[in-house]
Amino acid sequence: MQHDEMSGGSSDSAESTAFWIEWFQSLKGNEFYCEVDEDYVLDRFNLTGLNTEVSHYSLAYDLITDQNDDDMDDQTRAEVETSARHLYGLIHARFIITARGLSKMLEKLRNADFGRCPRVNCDNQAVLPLGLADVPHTKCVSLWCPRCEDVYTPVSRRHSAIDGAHFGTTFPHLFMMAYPNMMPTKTAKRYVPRIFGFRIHEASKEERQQDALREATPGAPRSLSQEPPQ
Amino acid sequence: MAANGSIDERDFSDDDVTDSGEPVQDKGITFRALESGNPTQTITYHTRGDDITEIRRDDGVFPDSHEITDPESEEDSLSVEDSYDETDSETGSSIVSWISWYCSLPGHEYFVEVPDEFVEDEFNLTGLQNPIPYYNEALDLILDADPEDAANQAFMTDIESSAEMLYGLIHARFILTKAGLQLMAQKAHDGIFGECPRVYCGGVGLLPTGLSDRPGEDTIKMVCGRCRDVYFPKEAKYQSIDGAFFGTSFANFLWMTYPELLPPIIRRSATEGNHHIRPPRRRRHGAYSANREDDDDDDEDDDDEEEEDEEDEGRATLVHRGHGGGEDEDSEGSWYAPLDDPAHDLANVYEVYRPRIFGFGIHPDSVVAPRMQWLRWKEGVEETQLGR
Repeated sequence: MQHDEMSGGSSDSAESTAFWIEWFQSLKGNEFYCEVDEDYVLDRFNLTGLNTEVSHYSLAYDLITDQNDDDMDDQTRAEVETSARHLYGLIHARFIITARGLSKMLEKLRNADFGRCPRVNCDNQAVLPLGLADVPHTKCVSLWCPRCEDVYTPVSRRHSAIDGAHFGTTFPHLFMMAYPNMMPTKTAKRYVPRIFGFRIHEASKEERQQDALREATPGAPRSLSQEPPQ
Repeated sequence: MAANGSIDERDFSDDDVTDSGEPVQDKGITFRALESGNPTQTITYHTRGDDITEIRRDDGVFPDSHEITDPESEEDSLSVEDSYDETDSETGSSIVSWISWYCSLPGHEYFVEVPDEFVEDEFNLTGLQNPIPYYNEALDLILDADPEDAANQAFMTDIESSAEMLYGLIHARFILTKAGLQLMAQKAHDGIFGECPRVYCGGVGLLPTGLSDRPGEDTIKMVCGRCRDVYFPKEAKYQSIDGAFFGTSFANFLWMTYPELLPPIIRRSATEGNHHIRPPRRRRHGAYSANREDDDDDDEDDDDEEEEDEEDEGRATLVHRGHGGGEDEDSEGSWYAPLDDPAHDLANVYEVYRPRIFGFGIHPDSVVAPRMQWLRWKEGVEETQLGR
């Protein structure tokens, strides 16, 4: 809702600020995006194929690069604005898997700009954004926790409105390959469901099978010594 | 304890939690424990974001089971509950009962109203006398039988917090009874407790749980019955509730009593084939190039191409997937169906996330190779889903 309102009144404020990208970055709800370098946007090679994805491609491109001319009616302007956001998102998805983009995202990860893992046993591990699909308009953005290696929905509704394709399926894994020291140590700590202190039959059967799978996985965390005996 | 009150009286909204993905850090705030009569003793309040998550005494540990009977240390752990406006209770109690008022406070949506009969039955309160200071006064307050003694006014703050603690502990017992389970099942059915944040649990409902049955040890956590894991409550206003007010047993007990609260998982198997029907994918924007030769996105994923293959078949009519195809993108592919698709019954989906780089699986020797898939494994999850 809030997102829509902002896009409605946004075109006016876009004119007043000098740079569209900077203005886009400053919008509430766009905290997940990193600022795409202007050089990257200006290099047409990086935009190969995007003209088929985005309507009003050239107008949207002009808007992003601040070359917009004003002879548009309000209807077109709103459409171009939407297209520009989408185009910027798709450029962003490509930019963040370049060396420059990865280093910008590293800074954001260090600030925990993407939030933290909701799982209790992950000890507030900072997460990375991820799309579950590279095709636009299929999945909203998700958060990938490097500690439990699972995907979660963002807490804020504003972030749930972001298209997952603006981040892509590859990004967090490529990021961890580029910065392996950011990979946290995994933990075998887990929640054991109990009723009046007793384990639940079905759950502990599953646990034992999961433990067997864990032992079979190379590099998986070993069980903790302080865990109660089976 | 004025500082304490001001922390909890803040108006929490949903977006406060992650407004800017703001780092949620532990900040220790130390107060003097004046009311315990020992000014050298300090209590550290650990906060997450804006909210108190735990209290620690100066020795850095929670009061353990031996200390819990010690009224002095009990007061320390009680003080976190000492956060409500007393004037509210006085005006409120004249109109509604204390229990109704307490359960209607913002942030107390998870509590159910314990009937007076349950509280009045001494048998249900066995063993609660010792750990709770001002037990009788607190019980009177809960049951609205308080004669408002002038002598009690001085201790009203302590009695209030004792009442909250006492009510919480009674609540933990009540929700394990038949009537309590029914009330909580209704709340769960209405979706009061929210959905699992894990994407591949398909938005299954959560239940509140404590990680300890002793008060003052840990705050409330949310447990998902599908992935059997615990998460922080999404909204900050719930993050200060004591976990002992719900207890460790309740959530699992409720799922055993009402198994329908956990919808069954429809497991898709590559071998026996599945009859999951997927309508053609919609594209709302952009011109889709029908002939793939034109589409030379080198940056786009391989998934994209798989999708295009499927789209070609799927454009005319619905696609029946599976039937012994055994291709490992089967499980993944169905996830490309739009979220708002009614034919795609999200509630029955359970998957294990499989990382991909440009559509390819990751070698086990890699630093980013999946090492935690065992945690989400369940009976019926295929090897192909794990990328083996």
